[in-house]
Amino acid sequence: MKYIYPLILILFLSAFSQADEALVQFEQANYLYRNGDFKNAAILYEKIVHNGYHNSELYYNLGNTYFKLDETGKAILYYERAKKIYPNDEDINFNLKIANLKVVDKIEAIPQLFFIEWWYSASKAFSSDTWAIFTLTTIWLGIILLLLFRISKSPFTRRAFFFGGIFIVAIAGFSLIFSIQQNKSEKSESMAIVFSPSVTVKSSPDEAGTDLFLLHEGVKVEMVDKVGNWFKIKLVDGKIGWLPEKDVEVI
Amino acid sequence: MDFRLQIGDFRLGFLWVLILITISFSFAVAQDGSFAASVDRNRVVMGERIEITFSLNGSGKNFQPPDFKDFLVLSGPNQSTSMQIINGAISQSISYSYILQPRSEGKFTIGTASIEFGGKKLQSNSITIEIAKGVQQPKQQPSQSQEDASISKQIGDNLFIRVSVDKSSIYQGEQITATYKLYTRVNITNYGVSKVPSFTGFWNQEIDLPKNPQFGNEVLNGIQYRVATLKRTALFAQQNGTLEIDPMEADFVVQVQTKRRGGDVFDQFFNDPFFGNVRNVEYKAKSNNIKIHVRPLPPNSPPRFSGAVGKFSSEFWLDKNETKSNEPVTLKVKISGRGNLKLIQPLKINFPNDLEVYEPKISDNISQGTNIISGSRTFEYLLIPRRQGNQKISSFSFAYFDPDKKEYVSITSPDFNINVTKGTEIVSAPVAGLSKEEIKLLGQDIRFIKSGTTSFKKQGESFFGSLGFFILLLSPMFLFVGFISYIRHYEKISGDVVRLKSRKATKIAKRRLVHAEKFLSQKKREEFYSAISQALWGYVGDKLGIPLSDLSQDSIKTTLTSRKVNDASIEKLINTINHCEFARFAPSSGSHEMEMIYKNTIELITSIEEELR
Repeated sequence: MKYIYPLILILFLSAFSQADEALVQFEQANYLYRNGDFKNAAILYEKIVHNGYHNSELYYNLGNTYFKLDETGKAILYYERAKKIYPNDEDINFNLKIANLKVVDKIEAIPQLFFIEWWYSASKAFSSDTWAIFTLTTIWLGIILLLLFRISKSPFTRRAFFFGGIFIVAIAGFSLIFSIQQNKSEKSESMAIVFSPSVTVKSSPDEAGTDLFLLHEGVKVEMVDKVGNWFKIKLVDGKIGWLPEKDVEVI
Repeated sequence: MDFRLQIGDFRLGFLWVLILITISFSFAVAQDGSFAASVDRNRVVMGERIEITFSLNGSGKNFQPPDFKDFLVLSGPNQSTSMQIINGAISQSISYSYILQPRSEGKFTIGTASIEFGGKKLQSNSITIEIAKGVQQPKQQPSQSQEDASISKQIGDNLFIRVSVDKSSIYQGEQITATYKLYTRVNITNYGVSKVPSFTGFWNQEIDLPKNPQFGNEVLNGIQYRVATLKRTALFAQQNGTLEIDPMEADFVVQVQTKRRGGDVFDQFFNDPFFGNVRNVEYKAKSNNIKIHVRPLPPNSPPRFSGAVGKFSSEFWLDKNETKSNEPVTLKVKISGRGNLKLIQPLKINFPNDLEVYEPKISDNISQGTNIISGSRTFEYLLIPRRQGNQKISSFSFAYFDPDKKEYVSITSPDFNINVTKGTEIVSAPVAGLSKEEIKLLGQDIRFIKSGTTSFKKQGESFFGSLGFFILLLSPMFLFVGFISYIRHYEKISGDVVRLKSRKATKIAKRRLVHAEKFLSQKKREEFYSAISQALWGYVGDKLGIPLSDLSQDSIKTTLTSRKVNDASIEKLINTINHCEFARFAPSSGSHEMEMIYKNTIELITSIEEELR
């Protein structure tokens, strides 16, 4: 009985486009989640992803579902994917923090220079598309102000329009750089999550290499290089080693 | 350690002694149908007597004694029969004894005797007897010390310790058993071990013996001895080469009888312990040395070999294949067989990193048997899986050297798989060191899912970098450029161009008259007119490109006319210049006039500037 509502919705909307279908599936999966049927919710969410659609909310909800199913590795993977789209979403960051509490390995990040950190946190404030829209808005505004400066006659308004325009165009420039940077990090596939319950990181890309350290499910690693089926990974604390491709999932 | 025991007091009746001897002989011939010869001693001095006994366990007939050609038979055959009932079974034994006296000195062999038993003819062993040259009995009694020496020698022949080993050539690590036996034909009243062998080069393990030595009978070189095992040790050579087994030393108190003087029959009869004419003599006995040749193990030892030598079998098992994380599993390795079990080290096993492994618990179950150490050694590994997943323990092996086959043997375990499912997490509570009470978190959970209307995007699609984005980004710049050029064009075609130019001309005039303005405000008359005049001359000169030397009213007039400046302006310029020249030195005219001149000059320059364009 409890599936009646989403079923009707599906029938009703099945004639619509695929994106609308994804929306229906999303609603249905949310419904399943609310009723505690995490297993089927996960299947349905995954189906949307499989069909080639995505957005931050979908990944976030999928992360939640896997968290409830006690699959920490997958939960973290999807939170990270959600975060890639909306880096500054409070809910995503909160849940990711909770999920990370279940990760065994505690890795201390090397602190970065404060202005580099500011720069990156500024670029992570919005998604690349948001930055893009912001860039367009400011550049239009800046150009209009500069035109007003050109045609205005009173010295005060001329001055105000001139400096205002320059300032806003400068903002647009920064916003464009942030947008490029954010887009690059969104498109990059250099980060991965360890998926196996535990994996031994080797000193060289083969089984015979010396065991360097042990990583457990849910740890985020940066992939620096690839040789055959082996990834060279780097941890946030600077440790470097090799692990098999099958043990990680690219974010 | 000094364990002492009392050998039974032999001060028994004369007859009792005979009976006991008879019984002991019947023990000597342990099995039915064994026929053996024994002598009371095999080294005698001329003139001494030998007693030889042929005994058969069972009843025989047609006893054929050997030919005693080298001896004089003093008495015999003396036949005695005994019957025994042990656990309800009757056994009979028969013995024939002779008293012999050697005829000459030398080494003689007493041949075999024969008897018929159960239809078969049995033959006894032959015995070699050495007869030494008779010592001329001195007339005087020997001194006490001489007597002691002779007693000591006499005891030495009849009381000694012998060590024997079951093998004399072994592999390193192979077991041999050394047995220390006491052989005696005298009455021992007391004894104690004074030096225990140290077995240098061996790892040894004592084999337990009954607390009180059990005496039995044994024939050695044809002489029957009462024999007790003092010590039995299992030895495992730790190094190769020739190793020596240390002797054992023991102190004995031996009862000997002293001879009476004289030789009458009465004395002879009473020359007997029963009648108390005995002495206790201390005697030190030392066992022989034995050399053992130890061969090294063959060089092609397998990598897992850790020194086990013997014959072993092995069992490996896990107590369970399924567990939860943090719940322990036990892996047992049992090695059983015979050999140097106690020297076996825990096997090298490659455990997965996610298993917490504790030092193995070693339990031994070793039995000594009569002379072979055998049993089992069990290693129990306690394993605690910390993560879920399949934990695989790859196969490992136990290798040993089999000295019988002279080769290495490996026993390999199967692979073990432990399927670990998720168990309870052990979470250690963080220690809060704050004086203020923190908000008590009743539980920690993730935030709820997001719902409501969202829009989905095809993966890989983004607004940034799309064609629309670039159009919107670049279009304002083109628009800006276009708009600016449009404004320019508009301004050009509209009349505003003149106004703009006049403003510029005025600017130029004002710049020229900067000094004049300054002098005007200071009311410096002479300097003011001079500045005006200079400004005008300078302006015209610069503007018309006339060098300073050629400047004159006429040259200005002609040039300006040729440049189509109207005559009124030219006239006004010439007038102003003249007026300035004049006014410089004229006493009258106030500041009002000066202002007028200044204003006129500006207008003049402006108008010429516009006309010249």
